[in-house]
Amino acid sequence: MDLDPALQTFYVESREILEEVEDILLRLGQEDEASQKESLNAIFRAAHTIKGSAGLFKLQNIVIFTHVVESLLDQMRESEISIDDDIIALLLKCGDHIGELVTLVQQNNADLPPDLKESGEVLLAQLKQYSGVSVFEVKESIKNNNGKESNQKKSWHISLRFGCNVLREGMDPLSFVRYLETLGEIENIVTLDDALPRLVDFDPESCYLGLEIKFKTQVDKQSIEDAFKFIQEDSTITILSPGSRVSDYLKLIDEMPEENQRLGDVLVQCGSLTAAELAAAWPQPNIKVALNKQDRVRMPVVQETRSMRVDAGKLDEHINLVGELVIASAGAALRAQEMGDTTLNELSSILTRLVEEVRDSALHLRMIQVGPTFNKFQRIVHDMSKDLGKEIEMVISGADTDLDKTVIEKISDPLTHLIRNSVDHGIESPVEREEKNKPRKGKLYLSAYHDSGCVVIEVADDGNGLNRDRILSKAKEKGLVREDQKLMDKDIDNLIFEPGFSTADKVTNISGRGVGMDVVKRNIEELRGTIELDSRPGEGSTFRIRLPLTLAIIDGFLVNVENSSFVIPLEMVHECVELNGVNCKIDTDRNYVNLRGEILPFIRLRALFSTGGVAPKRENVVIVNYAGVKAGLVVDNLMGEFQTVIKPLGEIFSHVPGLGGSSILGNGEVALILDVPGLVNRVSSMENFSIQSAV
Amino acid sequence: MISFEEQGQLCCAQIEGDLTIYTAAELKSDFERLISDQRDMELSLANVSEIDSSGIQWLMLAQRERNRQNLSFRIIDHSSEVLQIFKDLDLSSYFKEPVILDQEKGE
Amino acid sequence: MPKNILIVDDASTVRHVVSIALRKEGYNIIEACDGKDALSKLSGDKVHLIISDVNMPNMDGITFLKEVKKLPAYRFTPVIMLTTESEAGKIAEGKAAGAKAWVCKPFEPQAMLTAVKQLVLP
Repeated sequence: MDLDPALQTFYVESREILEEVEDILLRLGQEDEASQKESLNAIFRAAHTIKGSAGLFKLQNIVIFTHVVESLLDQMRESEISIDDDIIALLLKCGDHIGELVTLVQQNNADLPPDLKESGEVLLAQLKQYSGVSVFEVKESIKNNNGKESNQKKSWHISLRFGCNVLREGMDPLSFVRYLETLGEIENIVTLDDALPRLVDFDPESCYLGLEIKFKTQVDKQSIEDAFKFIQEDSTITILSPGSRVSDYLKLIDEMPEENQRLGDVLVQCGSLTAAELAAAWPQPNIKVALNKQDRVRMPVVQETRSMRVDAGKLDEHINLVGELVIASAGAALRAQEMGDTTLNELSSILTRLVEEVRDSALHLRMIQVGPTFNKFQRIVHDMSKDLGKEIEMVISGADTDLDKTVIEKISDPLTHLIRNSVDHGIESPVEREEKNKPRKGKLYLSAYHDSGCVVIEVADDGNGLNRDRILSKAKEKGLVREDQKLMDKDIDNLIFEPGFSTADKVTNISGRGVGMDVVKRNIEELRGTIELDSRPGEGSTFRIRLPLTLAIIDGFLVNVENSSFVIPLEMVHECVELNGVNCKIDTDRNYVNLRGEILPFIRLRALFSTGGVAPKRENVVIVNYAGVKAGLVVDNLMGEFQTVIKPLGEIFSHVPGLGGSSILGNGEVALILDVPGLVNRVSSMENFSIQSAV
Repeated sequence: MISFEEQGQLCCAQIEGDLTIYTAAELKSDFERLISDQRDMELSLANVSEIDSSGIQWLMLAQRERNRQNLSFRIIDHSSEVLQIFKDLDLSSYFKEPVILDQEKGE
Repeated sequence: MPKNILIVDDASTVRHVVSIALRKEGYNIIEACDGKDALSKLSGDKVHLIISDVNMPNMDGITFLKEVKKLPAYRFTPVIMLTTESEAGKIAEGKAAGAKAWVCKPFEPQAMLTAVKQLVLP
């Protein structure tokens, strides 16, 4: 390559630079610190430029000398060597010396004249006194390493899987192929599209290509590897040298992501392996290898399952839209049924099924595990028990139970309260426990589990249980119970949920925060949940919270009375029977129904909601079951299952007993969602009342 | 940019400008249409000014996705540049030669 | 059509040598003496490759590279960084800024040509 014109540029540029350096050096001594730093940078860059340019023409004398000067300048720049008149004088001499070396080249003198050589060595020795850099290190770093070429052309196999960022980084697989062509002959090439995803997952700026190349060349392996130097970090590059054994190819096949059979065929297509060699290697389809490979393919998938942060608002919006979709699809299904078009019906049922799946997966997006929330309480229990001088072990179970995120957020406060209560009032002090023959260390159980369409969270302790005498006397004192009133144990326990009740004899700074159990109960009821209490004096107490899985959508059972539609949450429907049919007789005097010998309380929705009209000849009973208590709801017609979005009731209706929300039917009419827990409580207390009065 | 011209059962698409990493992302909606159009598809590369591997990748995806749906796809008016790339990467058989397709149709 | 290559270096000798070596192979060369100058030359015309020095006055190579990645029309342009052995840290910095290719100075024109050809053929 004729670089003479460039050499002229080098002479001119070097002279300009050296003159500039001289100017800077002469005023360097008088400059303040900041300007000195800048000046040193400029001189360093000057030396750097001369060294780099000289290197282009392999002017070793200049490169070596300048390198040592540059090293010294670098150390001065880093303030490792201070500036004084001596060093400035030395650098000026070095500049002159470089100028002479340049002139020498310009005069086409290959050999260094003895006087110049000697003066150069003197300067280098002086430089070394300052910097400690020797000439030999420099020579070492300017080594020539050209790829050696052998004379014989041989066939290599190159396997390439480009990294996904290759294109974005400005590299082009095509360029590498074309560059290879300058090194030898591509005998065969197969472009692999196996990693190319489906359109939906396709990122046009990512690279998915793979190449298998049979390449005939006389250059050595290093030269081939160098061809892919710039992509080796992110791409998978395998180069099999000529004469590689079949087993090497099999190893390659095994390591690559494609199916073994497929890659085997590709290698045969490339001509790197023969069909016979492959057949010999795999007498039968090698199932074990294939299975191993599948396992390995699966492994990374598991590892790559990463989570992604999504704005909660977006999620809510999505779920809201899914809710609308559910309504719209119910409407379409209804219309399809009315039209009696079989095809339309089929399509609509497919649609309904898909919408259900979408709904389930959408709701699942909101589900998070209760674990992290539970763990938060460990700390509270630890800190509190220390303050109170108690020994408490907290046992968590069901931490992997999923629950709607909103529910988890809202349940956190009531749970905190219950746990504080247990630690404060439930579990006794170690001394007290020893006196009762209990282990010094009290136990607090926090558990979550699924139960008939609900999530149950329990806070239990092995403490003292509730003190019923004290509760009763306090309730009487506060006028919650009449002096002469007889109450069952459970009713006494439940008094603590009454507004304005506080059980602590002395208000400690922990639980006495003005928030009573009534607030806890109300918070839970706002989540359409319930709380119940199970206390065993001397053994401990258990608070059991039942919560719906989600707040947004319910599977309901649609019934109708007169012109009104009602939705009963499906998970609470036990069975449907005809009133006064074979299985179910009504006893109007005693106000119960007899379901195959089982006595159940019942409510007539017609009467409860005063819908008016006259009951049809045949009425139906929906048997509902909530928390182990069954009751019958008498309705006119059973309409069937119905999936619906819960719309909150307006403020005006919030006090109407028995209603939990409203929903829009497919035909646009409003259906009211029944508050089954409320109704069940209502009838079971009525039942108690009637039984008591009967006694 | 890809323009589409309907000729009955045939849809004639034409790529204008570059088919490179710089345009790969903005061509997405056009390629989505090209892949999903139920008519016979003919894609002309006559006005492609520059093409690179990302462009080739788009063409491969289009061919494969249309094959999957059993829809016809023909690339026509290859520039010498594209032909050279097909040769370099040995992709001619991947993108079926139009001649062979015609024979199939004739039978 | 010849491919455009932008060479950015404050040393005119380096620019000259690179120009001679690459023009001979059929590339079209645009020269710039520092990062600032180079940015002013990225104005509409296609650039298929950028070769840039690291240590330059006005705007250094790493800053220049970061600026290039912000320009929509040049964001995918491959960049070869020119570095010296002593600037190993700069190689890492350059890579982080998006330059995957580099040539160590002092380089032989042939080595430069090889690197360029791997990325863009003339």
